[in-house]
Amino acid sequence: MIGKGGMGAKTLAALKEHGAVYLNAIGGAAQFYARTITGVDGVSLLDLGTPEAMWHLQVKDFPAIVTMDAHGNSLHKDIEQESGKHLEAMTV
Amino acid sequence: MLPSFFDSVLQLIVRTSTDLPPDVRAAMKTSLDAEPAGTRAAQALTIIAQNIDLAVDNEGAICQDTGMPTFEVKVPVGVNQIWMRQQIREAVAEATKRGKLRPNSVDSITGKNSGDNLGPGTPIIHFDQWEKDQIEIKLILKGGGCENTNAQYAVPVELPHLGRADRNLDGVKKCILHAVWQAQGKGCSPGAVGVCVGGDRTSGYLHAKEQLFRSLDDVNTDPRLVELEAAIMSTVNNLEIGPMGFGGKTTLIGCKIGALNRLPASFFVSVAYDCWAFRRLGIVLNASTGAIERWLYRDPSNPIIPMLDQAGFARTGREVALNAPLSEADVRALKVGDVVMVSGRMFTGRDAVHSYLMKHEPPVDLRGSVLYHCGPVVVKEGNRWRITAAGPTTSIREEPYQG
Repeated sequence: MIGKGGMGAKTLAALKEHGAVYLNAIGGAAQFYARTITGVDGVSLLDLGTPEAMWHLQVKDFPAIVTMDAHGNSLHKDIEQESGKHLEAMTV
Repeated sequence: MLPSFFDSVLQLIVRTSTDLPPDVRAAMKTSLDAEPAGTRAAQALTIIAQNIDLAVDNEGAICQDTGMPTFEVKVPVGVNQIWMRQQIREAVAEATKRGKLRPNSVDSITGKNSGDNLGPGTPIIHFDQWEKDQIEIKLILKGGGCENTNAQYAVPVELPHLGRADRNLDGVKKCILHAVWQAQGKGCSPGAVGVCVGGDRTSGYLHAKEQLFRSLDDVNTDPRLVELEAAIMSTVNNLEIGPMGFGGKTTLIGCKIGALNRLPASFFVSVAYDCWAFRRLGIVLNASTGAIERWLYRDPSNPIIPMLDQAGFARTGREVALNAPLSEADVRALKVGDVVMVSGRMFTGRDAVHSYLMKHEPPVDLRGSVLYHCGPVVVKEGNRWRITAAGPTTSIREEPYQG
């Protein structure tokens, strides 16, 4: 899966069980990523509207960062915990 | 009527969607310079900087989520607002047809997209009269990802990690810090917050969003709030949430706070979070012709300075190449922190697709496939489709469909 902002505990467990990863792409970088798309092979479920349809894309060198892996690690969980500690330090 | 009005509004929409204002560019440049080269934060900001340059060079949407078009219009006494509203709506439909805005207006009961951004409540247009001779139109395009991270607090309130927020400026500060912490990378950090202290639930959110029309580099006209804004900006980056929530030195590029009177029983703190793709511009029009007399937030005599002097992803040599479809072994070998370059077949799927897949077989074989949470801007050219904007959407909305 590729998206932004990360996902939660249910996904993290499912990644481990099924052998999948979550890749975080850079949110908002619509022009940058559009240029990694080399072709549109087709589309399914177009009646859901163009933003919601399932587009079949060909991409080349689409960069992203592994932020949740198949071993139970999540950068999102770690950053949320660490920044929570920083928050606590701010109120002292 | 005003012969140039329609064209002026259309220009405003296109420019707002494709060309980030100078104050936001300057703030993003500062954050780019603050992150050490080779870090995840620096790589993210380099992609963002390239994206800002590409959008203006090609007049393409900076972000595929072109947001809720919100117009703030000031008019001299006696102008026809009914006609003006109609013209603005037509300009929105035209900008959508040209692919500068994504069709973003969805019937909340049927789920059907109107296709032209017009519908009950969209776009948002507010009119005010003023004692000047010109017409002023400001536009903000705030996307759904950051809109979903907005927060409203009824103080006093107990907040995780921060304790009790009381009905004073220290309590307001805690609410703002909590909102930024809670957003993590989901609102596309580094973002900016507009805040309203007081009001009621409705006016509070509205006033918070209005704060986003202030320039990032201005100083609050209310001396009581100057210090609070400075205090937030000097401490918030210590949270180290960083760009996209990857960790790093920049979490926020602006904090703008306003205050409204409240009822004795209520004390709301409303926080409107806007992403780094902080798209807002304005124009001042001649009231008899509708022609643009000048732009707000930007000085056309100053050229647009590119964010980067070279394009291309800044590779470190440690990137992992992935060719989809993928084997389970390839995927299990990946670890948090790896930077990957994906090539091959990818399917987009977001809210409606996930809901569909709960009840139906997938229309394609998804085994070993890459699913991209993305709602692109697509234009049809003859019988071919072309994707003109395609960044990721917020994934946490799909969490209930997993497992």
